[in-house]
Amino acid sequence: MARYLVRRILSLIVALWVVSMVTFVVFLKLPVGNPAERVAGRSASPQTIAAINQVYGFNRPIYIQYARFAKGLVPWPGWFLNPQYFYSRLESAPVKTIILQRLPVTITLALGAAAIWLVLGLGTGVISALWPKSAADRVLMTGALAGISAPPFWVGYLFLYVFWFKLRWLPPSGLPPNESLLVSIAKGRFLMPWIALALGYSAFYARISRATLLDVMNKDYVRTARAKGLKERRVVVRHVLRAGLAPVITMLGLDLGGLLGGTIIIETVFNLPGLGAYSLQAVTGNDLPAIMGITVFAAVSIMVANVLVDVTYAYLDPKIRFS
Amino acid sequence: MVPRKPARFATFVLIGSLAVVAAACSGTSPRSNAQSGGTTASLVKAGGTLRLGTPNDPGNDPQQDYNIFEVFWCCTSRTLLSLNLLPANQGGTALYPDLASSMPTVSSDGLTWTFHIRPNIHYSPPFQNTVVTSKDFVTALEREANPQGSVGGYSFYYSVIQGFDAYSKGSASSISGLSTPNVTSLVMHLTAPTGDLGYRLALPAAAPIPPGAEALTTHLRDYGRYLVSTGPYMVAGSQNLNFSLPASQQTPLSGYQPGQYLDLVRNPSWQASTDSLRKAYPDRIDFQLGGTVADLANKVEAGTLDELYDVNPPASVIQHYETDPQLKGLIHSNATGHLQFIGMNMAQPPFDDIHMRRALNYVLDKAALQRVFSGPIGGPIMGHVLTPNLSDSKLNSYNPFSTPGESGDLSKAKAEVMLSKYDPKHDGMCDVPACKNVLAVTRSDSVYPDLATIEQQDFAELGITLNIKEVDFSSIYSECPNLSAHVGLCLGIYWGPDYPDAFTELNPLFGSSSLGPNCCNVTATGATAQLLSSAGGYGNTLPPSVDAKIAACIPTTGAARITCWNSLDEYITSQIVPIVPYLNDHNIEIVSPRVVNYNHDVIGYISLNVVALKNGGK
Repeated sequence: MARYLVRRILSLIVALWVVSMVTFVVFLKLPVGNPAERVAGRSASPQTIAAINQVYGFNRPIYIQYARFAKGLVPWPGWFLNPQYFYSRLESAPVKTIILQRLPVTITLALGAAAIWLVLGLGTGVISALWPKSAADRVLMTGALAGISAPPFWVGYLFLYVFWFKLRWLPPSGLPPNESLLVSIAKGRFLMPWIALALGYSAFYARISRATLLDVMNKDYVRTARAKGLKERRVVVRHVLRAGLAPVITMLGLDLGGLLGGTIIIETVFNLPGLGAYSLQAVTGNDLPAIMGITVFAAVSIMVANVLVDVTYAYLDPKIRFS
Repeated sequence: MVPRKPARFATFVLIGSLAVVAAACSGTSPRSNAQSGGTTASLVKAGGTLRLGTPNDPGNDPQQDYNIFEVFWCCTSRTLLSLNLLPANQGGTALYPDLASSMPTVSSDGLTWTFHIRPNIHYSPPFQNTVVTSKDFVTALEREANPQGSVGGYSFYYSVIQGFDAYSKGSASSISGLSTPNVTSLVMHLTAPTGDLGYRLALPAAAPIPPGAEALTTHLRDYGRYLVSTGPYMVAGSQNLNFSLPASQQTPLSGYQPGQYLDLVRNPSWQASTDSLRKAYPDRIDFQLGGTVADLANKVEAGTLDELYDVNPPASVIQHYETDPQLKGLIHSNATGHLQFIGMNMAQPPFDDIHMRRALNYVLDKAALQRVFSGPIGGPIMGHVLTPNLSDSKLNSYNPFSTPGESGDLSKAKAEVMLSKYDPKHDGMCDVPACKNVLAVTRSDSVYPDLATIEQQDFAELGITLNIKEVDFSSIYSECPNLSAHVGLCLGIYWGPDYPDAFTELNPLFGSSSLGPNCCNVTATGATAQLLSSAGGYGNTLPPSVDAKIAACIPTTGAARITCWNSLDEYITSQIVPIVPYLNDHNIEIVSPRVVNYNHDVIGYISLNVVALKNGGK
């Protein structure tokens, strides 16, 4: 187990290095012109551009530029997302501080939506798999197809228009300035965002879980379990679901990791102050250090989620060995 | 100045149509019987909370934020001279003494400006016992000059002050052109006479900073999170600022979270008797920042917000307000200085030929473009550069390329093409390869893709085919002026003045100092052979320059200044023809029935100086 973890962490470091290189090249080297001018904003004076060159080292050799950037990715006190480099011009604050401030909103959004899509998606998938080609299966899968086809921004707008603007059943978009996150959750401010975000995922999960469960149900060991006289409920729960849902765990981990990088559309539509809204703000405001900081954070989130998924997967599926 | 963004909301229309069933079942949507902007004096009372919603963050740093100045102007940051934030016909383009006790004394050579500071003006808490002195203006300008303090700002406006650039470069420890003979006198020495210096000093960057606010040290980069006010409002939580603590223990203003909210409360240090410009009726002004325009517009209609700020409502909402008798009084179309135009790269064929540029002016169906901007409510069609707010309305009828109904005149356009060197067949169509696949850049947001479609069709009638490249809003001002990119036409661009003086329109758009990928001259006006050579791929034909004419206008003042700029506008429009102007787009604002005494400033924004809540918000 320990060797496995070490190996995974080493591969994570290599992957992070690759991501850092790509981020560095994409944001700093590919765009035309001097990156200092983009950091400085339009109509910047030569003095401002010179000062930014000094801070970021844009006028230094490329390896020094990369080193200044990459230093912020090392999880070492004072280095990780250090404010000398990763400082948001738009918010006049260190990027790390902003990420920590906004992360709880994004986590709340992601976890709440994940809970909904797991219940909806897996429930639908299991029912459809247990009674394939039944009326319920057809209705649910048609619903899943509709769910996959509906873009989250459209669903979000529709919810807001109908359930807040017209019917007043649910609270409007946004979180009041002095309201705690728990109170906001209790008041149902996350209900529409959760559902809008979860719909597409749940439809996808339903289709995937149905397919994998149907596949597992035709396996020899399931047939053997039935032949041994086990009750159908026990066969399904102990043998079919455990093996059939393992791929779902993989998807869930990666999806959650991706969502932690920011749910741009939902956070924007529902005016939630999370990482997604911040990343959009950074991109439209040309806040280069912020964009790079969020990109790296998102990449790390996905990679860590990936490792956790691998470990969990190995426990769930006996065929997988840590070795 | 970063222009505001008109909104395009096809998605909103789609949602509206699909949600019609639920909507029909409802009936809870509020409607108002009250008239917006009602000016019944008895309704105008102090009090209440004015709630504004905007997807954009106006920012809170006077030296850095080069976006919306109104929030500083109305509320937090008084300057030596100020605008009254009213329309042009109510003195909106004039400057008034604000923290200065009178208008400045200007030396006969125009190089020395002397201001006297109004006495006994106190800062907001925690500096309520500190009086504004002349040195505090120097502090502000030093922060603006400091490259790290003014990132994203507009320090170029102050380069005209002696020693400003030297201080900026770090080669001087102070700005030599600023002196403070005593606490109430400020003397400025300029390197050249500058007729609009007063306007430049009315910008928030020149608002005073108290000693002890550490704006040049600890808070050099983040003073906006620790702003100390002089206006009628301060950011909520100002009283909790504690500059005596070590930097790491100081907490920023609680009333401002960038991108989320900006809450302004009354500044107890402000005295109405010292301020004739601001009525400051509401007790509190809350900005909800972020979200989508469609949702914010719904909130205004539902009454949970009082105004949609800094962005035009979606076209469907405009139509809804215009056609519903109960809402019609709640929508306002405010004149601005914004000019929507098409920029032509005069260094590049076929636009290096003035006849081709004139042809484009004739062929464009400006009326169709206006319709995309919601029709006449979206603003008047333009035939030249300076809008009425900038030309003192003296050029309103000037339009050298006028066409019937402003729908374009193909025959006149073809006649111009025939005069050009790009029509060897003399059929009124551009026949050369330079007219094919012309790189045309436009914005990917708002109405701009729709406008590009119309423009593409119009220009095709002259044989000019476009290769349209859509870029995001923040990139257009770096894409179009980049001579190396060889952009032939810049379609999705417009310009708005920073203050009501034509310098801030004509110099950025046509001055050679504004050439380059980081500014605004998209037509190559004034480009030198050296510049074109370094950009590569250009011929020997040099675009015309108007630098000398701009320089001649800069020192002028008063009526002579307006005449000078207007003449330059006529010259540029008819003799240089670098752009196709087509619209002076208005700011369209919707308000809730709670809003009374509505008025707007010359930039087109609601006047927070005078607006009130009906019966004080009760």
